[in-house]
Amino acid sequence: MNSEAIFVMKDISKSFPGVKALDKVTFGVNRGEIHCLVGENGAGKSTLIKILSGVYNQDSGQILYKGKEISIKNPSHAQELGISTIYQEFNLCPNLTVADNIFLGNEFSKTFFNYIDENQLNRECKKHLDLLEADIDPRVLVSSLSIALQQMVEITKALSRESEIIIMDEPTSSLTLQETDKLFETIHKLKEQGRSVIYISHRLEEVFEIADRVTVLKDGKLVETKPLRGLSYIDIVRMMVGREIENKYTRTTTRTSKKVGKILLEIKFFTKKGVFENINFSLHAGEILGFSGLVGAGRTDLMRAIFGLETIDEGKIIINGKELKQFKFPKEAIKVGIGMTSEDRKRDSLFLNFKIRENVTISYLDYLSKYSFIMGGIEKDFAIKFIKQLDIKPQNSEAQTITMSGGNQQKVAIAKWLATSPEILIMDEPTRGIDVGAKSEIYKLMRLLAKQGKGIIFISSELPEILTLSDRIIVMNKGKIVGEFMNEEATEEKIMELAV
Amino acid sequence: MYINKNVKKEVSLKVRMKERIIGLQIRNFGVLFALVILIVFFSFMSRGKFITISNILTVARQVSLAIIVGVGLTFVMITAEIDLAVGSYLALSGVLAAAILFYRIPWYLALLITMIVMATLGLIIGVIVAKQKLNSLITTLAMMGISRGIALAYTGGAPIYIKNDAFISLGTGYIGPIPTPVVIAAVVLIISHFVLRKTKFGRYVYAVGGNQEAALTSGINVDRIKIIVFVITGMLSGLAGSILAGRLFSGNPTAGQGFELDVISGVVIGGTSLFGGIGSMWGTLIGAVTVGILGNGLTILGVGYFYQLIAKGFIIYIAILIDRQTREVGLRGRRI
Repeated sequence: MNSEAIFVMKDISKSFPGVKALDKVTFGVNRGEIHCLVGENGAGKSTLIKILSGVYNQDSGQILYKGKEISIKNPSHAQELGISTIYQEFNLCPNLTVADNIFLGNEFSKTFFNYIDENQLNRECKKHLDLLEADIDPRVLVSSLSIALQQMVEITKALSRESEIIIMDEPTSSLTLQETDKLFETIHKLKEQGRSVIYISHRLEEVFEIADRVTVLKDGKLVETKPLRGLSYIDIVRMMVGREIENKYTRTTTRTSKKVGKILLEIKFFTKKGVFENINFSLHAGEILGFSGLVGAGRTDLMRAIFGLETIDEGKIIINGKELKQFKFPKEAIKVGIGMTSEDRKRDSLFLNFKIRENVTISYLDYLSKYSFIMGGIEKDFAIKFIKQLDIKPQNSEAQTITMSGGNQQKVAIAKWLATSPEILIMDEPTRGIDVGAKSEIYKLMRLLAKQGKGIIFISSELPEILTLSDRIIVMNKGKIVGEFMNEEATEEKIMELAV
Repeated sequence: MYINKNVKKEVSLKVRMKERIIGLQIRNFGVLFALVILIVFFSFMSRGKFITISNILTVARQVSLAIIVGVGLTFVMITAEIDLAVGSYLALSGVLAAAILFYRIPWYLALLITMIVMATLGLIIGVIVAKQKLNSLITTLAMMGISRGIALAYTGGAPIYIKNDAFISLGTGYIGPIPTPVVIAAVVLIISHFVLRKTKFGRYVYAVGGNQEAALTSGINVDRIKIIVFVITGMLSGLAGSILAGRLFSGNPTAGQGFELDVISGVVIGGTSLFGGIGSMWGTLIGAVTVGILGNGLTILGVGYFYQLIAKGFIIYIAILIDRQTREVGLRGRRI
C-alpha cells in the first residue's frame, strides 16, 4: 500500500473458554480510508473491533499505532488515543441534551463548582454539528431524536474528541434508506477530513457502495484484505463462506426416504408490521426444518409470535389440520403440543434459583401434582429420567442449575420441553455459546427426536449446522421468506446470497 | 459475536445468583447464631428479667403479628415485589372490624368480612401491579397513605371501642397455656410453609421471582401469581389487624405505624432476597423473632422508644452487613 497506515494489528489471537475467536489475524487501516470488515456471524469481527477499542486484550499479537507499538488498556484509553466506536446500541444518555451528551465527561468547566456554561457548550456543539452538516439543535433532548439523528450525535461526539479512527458496528441496522444515504454522505465527509472509518456490515450492497478496501474474516481467521475495485459480489460471498468447507460436513438428514410425515403445523399469512410479513410455511412430522438468515431477519420474532409471546397483525395457525386462534400466552401453545427453547436460555428459559429437578418439571407440574400438591417422589423420578436420557451432568436432580456449565444448562432447558412431550419443538439457536462436544450431543438429540416423529423448527445463524441437520431450509431476509431448499440442493453460497 | 456481547452480563448475573443461593444456607445459621447471642445478651443485661415465662409469652404475642403479616410479605417478596402498606392495613382492618362489631355482628363474621375486604384491597394492588405493570413499591406506598387515610377519616382519629369478648380474646386469650395469637401465627406459618414448598403455586412463586420471562415462556400465568400473593398479604393483614384490635380493645386508626419496617426487616433478615426468587417461611420466623426480641429486650433494659428506633435502624444495618460478609466468605470457601 502506498498510503500511510494509521494502525496495524499483527497476528492477533484471542480465545474464550471453548472458542478460539481470533487466530493470528492481521488487520490494518490507512489514513483517510473506508475499510469494511465482513464475515459470517461468529467470524470474529466484533472480537477484533473490541480489541482495537480496548474492551478486550489480545492473548497474543501486537498493535502498531502510528508506527509505535502500543497496548490499549481500556475503552477510555482507546478514546484518548483517538479511536472511537459507535456500537449498535448507542452509549447516549437519553435524558440529557445533545450538547450535554457530546461533551459528557469532557465539559470545559474551569469555573468554581464545576459550573457548566451552557451557552458555550451549545455554541461549541453547534460547530461540530455543522462540520457534518447535521441539522440538530444542541439544546433538545436526545430521547426526542430519531435513531438516525442519535447516530449522528454519536458520530459528532467522536469528532469532538478528535478521533482519527471511527469504528461503526452495523450502523445501518435500524436506519431507513434515506437515512442510510445520509450516513454514507457523513462517512465520506469523515474521509475527506482525513479520518479512517472501519465499517462492519452484514449488507454487502453497502460494502460495495462505500468501501475502499475489504477485509474478510472467517472462523476467526483472516481470509484476505483486498481493494474493493475488481471484486464482485460473488467473490466476497465466496470468501465469506469458504470454498473448501462444503465437503467438510457430512449431511446426515433424518428423513430416510423422500416420503414425508403428516403436516403437524401450518402457518399462513403471518404478518407483524415492520417485523415479518406474509409468512407461510408448514412443518411435517419427523422433519427438521431449518430457518436461516442474518440476525435481525425476523426469525426469532416469528417464532415468538407462533409461541404466543408476541402479538401479530394477521395470520392463521393450523395444527393437525385444525385452525386455531393465535395464542395469547405460551400456556396455550404448550397445551396444543408446542415447545420452544429460546436463543437466550438465561433470560427466557432457565431459573437459576432452581435445582435441576425444579427446572425440568416446571412446565409439567400440572401432571405431577394432585390437588395442586406436587408429588415429590414422582417429580424426582420424572426429572431423573430426563437427566439420564440427556446425560445431564451432574447426574443429580438436586444440584443447583447455577453451578452447571453452559452446555448442561442448555440440556436442562431442552429437558424442560421434552418433559411436556411436545409434537412440535422450536429450537432457537440451541447451540449458542456451548462447546463443541455439547453441540454434537444436541445435534444427536435433535435427530433422535425427529426420528421419533416430532417436528423440529431449528433456527441457527451458523450455516454449517443448518446444512448438516436440516431436511429442509427456509431462508428469511428482512422479515420475509426469500427462499426454500431441500437439503440436497442447498449450499452455503445459495443461502448466503439470499440472506444478505 | 454473541459471546462478547453477553459474557459480562451473564457472568455478573450468575455470580449474583450463586452468591444468593450459597449465602442463604450460611445466612440462616448466621442469623440463628445472632439470635442466640441476642438472647444471651439480654438475659445477662436484664439480670433474668428477660427470660421469664410472662416475658417470653409477651414477646411471642408481639411477634405473632409480624409473623402472620411476614408470611404474606414473604410470598410477595419472593415474586420480587413488595408491599409497604401492611402497617396501614393493620389500622384499617382494626377500624373496620370494630365498626362491624358495633352493629352486634358475631365475632367470626366480623373477622371474615374484615379479611375479605382486606383481601380485596390486596386484589386491587395485585391487579395494578400485574396488569398495569406499575411498580409495587410506589403503588403500595400510595395504598399505605390511602388506607391509613380512610381509617383516620372514618374514625375522626379516635379509636372505636370493641365490646365483643370473643373478638377481644383473639388478641388477649389463651388456647391451653399458649396465647391465641401465637397459635394462629403457628397455624398460618405451617400452612404457608407447605403451600410454598409443596404446591404448584409455591413453585410458581419462586419461578416468577427467579426469572419472570422464563416463567412466562414456561406457561405460567405470571399475572395471576402476582395477584394472588398480594391477595394473601391483604387477607393476612386483615387477620393480624383483627388480632391487634382485640388486644387493644379497640379499632385504632393510628395502630401499626412503622409496622411495615419491622416486618420487612424480619423477612429480609430471614433470608428472603429483595431481588426475588429466594426465601423461606422458616427464615421469616427467625427474622421476625429476632426483630421482636430486639424491641422487647431494649424495652426491658429501659431504652426508650425513640432510642429504640435509632438502635433498630443500626442493628438492621449491621445485620445486612454481616449477612453480606458471610456470603462472601461462603463464596470464597466454595471456590478454594
